Amino acid sequence: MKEQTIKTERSFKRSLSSLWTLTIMQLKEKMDVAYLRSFRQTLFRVIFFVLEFAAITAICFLLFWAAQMLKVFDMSGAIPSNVLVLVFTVMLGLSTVFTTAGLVKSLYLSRDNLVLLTFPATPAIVFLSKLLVYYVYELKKNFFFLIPFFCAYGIAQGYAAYFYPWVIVWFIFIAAVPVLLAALLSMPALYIYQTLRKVPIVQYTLITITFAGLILFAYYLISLIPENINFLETWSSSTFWEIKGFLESFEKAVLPLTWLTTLLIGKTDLAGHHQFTGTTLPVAAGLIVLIALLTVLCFTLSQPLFYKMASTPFEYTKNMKAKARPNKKAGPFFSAVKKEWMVALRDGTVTTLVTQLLVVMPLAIALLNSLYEAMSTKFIGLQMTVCFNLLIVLLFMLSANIRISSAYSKDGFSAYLNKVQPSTYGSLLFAKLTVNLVMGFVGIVLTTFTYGAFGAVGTIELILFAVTVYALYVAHLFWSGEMDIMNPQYTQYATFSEQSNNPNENKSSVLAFALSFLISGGMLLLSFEDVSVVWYKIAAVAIVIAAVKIYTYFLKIKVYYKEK
Amino acid sequence: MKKTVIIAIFLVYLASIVVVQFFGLQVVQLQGKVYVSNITVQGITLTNRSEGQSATAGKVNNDAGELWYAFVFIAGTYTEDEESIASNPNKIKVEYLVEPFDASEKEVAYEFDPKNVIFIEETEEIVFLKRATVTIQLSAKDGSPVKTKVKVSAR
Repeated sequence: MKEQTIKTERSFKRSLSSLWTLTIMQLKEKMDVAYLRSFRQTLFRVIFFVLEFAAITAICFLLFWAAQMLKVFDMSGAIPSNVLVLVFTVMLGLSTVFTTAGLVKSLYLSRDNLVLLTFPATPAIVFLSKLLVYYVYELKKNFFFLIPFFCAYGIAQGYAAYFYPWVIVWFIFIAAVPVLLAALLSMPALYIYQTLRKVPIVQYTLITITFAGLILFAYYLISLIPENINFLETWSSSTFWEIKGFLESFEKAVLPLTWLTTLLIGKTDLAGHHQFTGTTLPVAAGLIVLIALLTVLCFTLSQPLFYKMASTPFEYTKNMKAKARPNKKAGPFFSAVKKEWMVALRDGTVTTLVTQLLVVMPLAIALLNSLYEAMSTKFIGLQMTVCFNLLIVLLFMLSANIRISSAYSKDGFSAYLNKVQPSTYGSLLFAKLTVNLVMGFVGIVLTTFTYGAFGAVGTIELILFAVTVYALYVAHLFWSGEMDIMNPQYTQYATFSEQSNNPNENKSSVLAFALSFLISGGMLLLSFEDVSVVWYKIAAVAIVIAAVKIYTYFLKIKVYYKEK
Repeated sequence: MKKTVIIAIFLVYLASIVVVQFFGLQVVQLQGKVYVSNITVQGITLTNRSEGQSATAGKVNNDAGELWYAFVFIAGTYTEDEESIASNPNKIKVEYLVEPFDASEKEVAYEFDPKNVIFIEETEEIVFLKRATVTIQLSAKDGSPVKTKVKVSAR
């Protein structure tokens, strides 16, 4: 009996040790933890993290303070808990959706499964290690928004010191919920993904229905817009009450999340703030039971599928009933372009770009300008509407380029093929950008027509608007491509099929926002001087940036590919 | 697209509406409008009763805690003719108080089921043609969401 107990204990310790090793190993590969080797660098990282946390908390506090001063949510200047319920629900919902997408790839389709399953660990440990890696990501993300958000609320409301550690402790549990939910949802998501890939007719029907739904929804929203929008005039009579009513009904609609928010922030009544109420213990126990239940469900439902998918070599999943087609001879450049378009069609890039640039962007601009039409603006207001149109279109366009900052790395170990093909490196690498170049062009043409339909600017200004946006789009596209060429992440994608924190993608995102804000902000400032020439100046600047980036892109390809 | 990028674009989109609302609209001379904050029903007056007859409706106590008044319906054949309305003794007026006293628009709107009753807009009187119970809702006309209800029975 004693021997048996010792054996079980040893086995448990071994499992824990394997789990720790596997999790740390994956985290090391996916997150940059090289700083841990040096005390100075670790200290610097910790200080930077604390500063980042403090800065986000300060920004959130300022927003709460402004809402209190302006009495946005309550006539007494208080911030009702339903505001937190709304933000909390949206963030958890988004986390679940994005984690589901990530887990489908990481759990079932990742190439590292084959390697991980060869380690001296059970498939259950490998499965759990993958969930733990996502849990760490989720916790990290919470430290950069939701936790500072709740802390800022506590500061704004003047809560006691124990409120802050209380929030942090509960977020350690809460962060597990979207990961476990996503692990369960990843199973139907995988089947949907595979069905859509296997049966193109279903895929196209679904896409058509989604697009039609989006257009109808935008049309419905536009039909709801009143003749005159003036929040300042209607604030006390209707707008304030509508917001209040919406928040109250939302709070009732998501009752479990309202309870969870109450667990975190407690309750405030005439006697003051009570961190611990009658519901604290039942909700806390309920959360722990829910996590335990989800964990059990994950292991009984998802883990067998994980083992099946992970242990099936990808060669066997191929459809071998491919139709034989005659080979059409094409030049090296057009062959490369054709290949990139086929890859983009198959991996969903074209669908994503069509949705973002050809459907959502024109609809967003139509909705925005319908709202602006219902506002009686003065001169500066009119200039603002033009600048905001430019800003929104730029954000939509440039954010579509972020994927290019990892496009070459995603080729993984086959990236070296570019160096052995009988063609110039520049033309082969440029072929990857053609999908975005064409989609961006169609997108901006459609959006410009949509914007023009509202008659806010003249024809010449409209053409210059399109030229400016497209030139900046091209500049950002080449810039993002250049980032990936200069700092490739081939090994990451070859091993894991994904990278959650790609430095090039982060840089490209920051650059997209910086360029959009700088150009539209500059446009607003210049419009105070001379409105008639502002578009020419902005378009000229955009064209120069595009020309420089195209030049440096090809220049760096020459340097990089010759040196290596 | 990353979650943060989507959230950021959405926030900028919202900000583009709010910023234009706060800083870009034509200046409108605010007239310091004072909105109605409360409407209190103080009683029901019978406006066409002869001398010696009670000129007020009595309050009805009820478990539901509703504001409920009742009066004795003087039987007769009443129609919607001007003459008949003028002579109808079952004519009531809701006595109400609008707060604050300096509210810019003190007018209230009447809402009720017009079955067996007629509303005279000029005098704000309600004429009962038959025995009936009517629930009247008084709401502020200035756009504020203030309203109150009163039940009146002609027995």
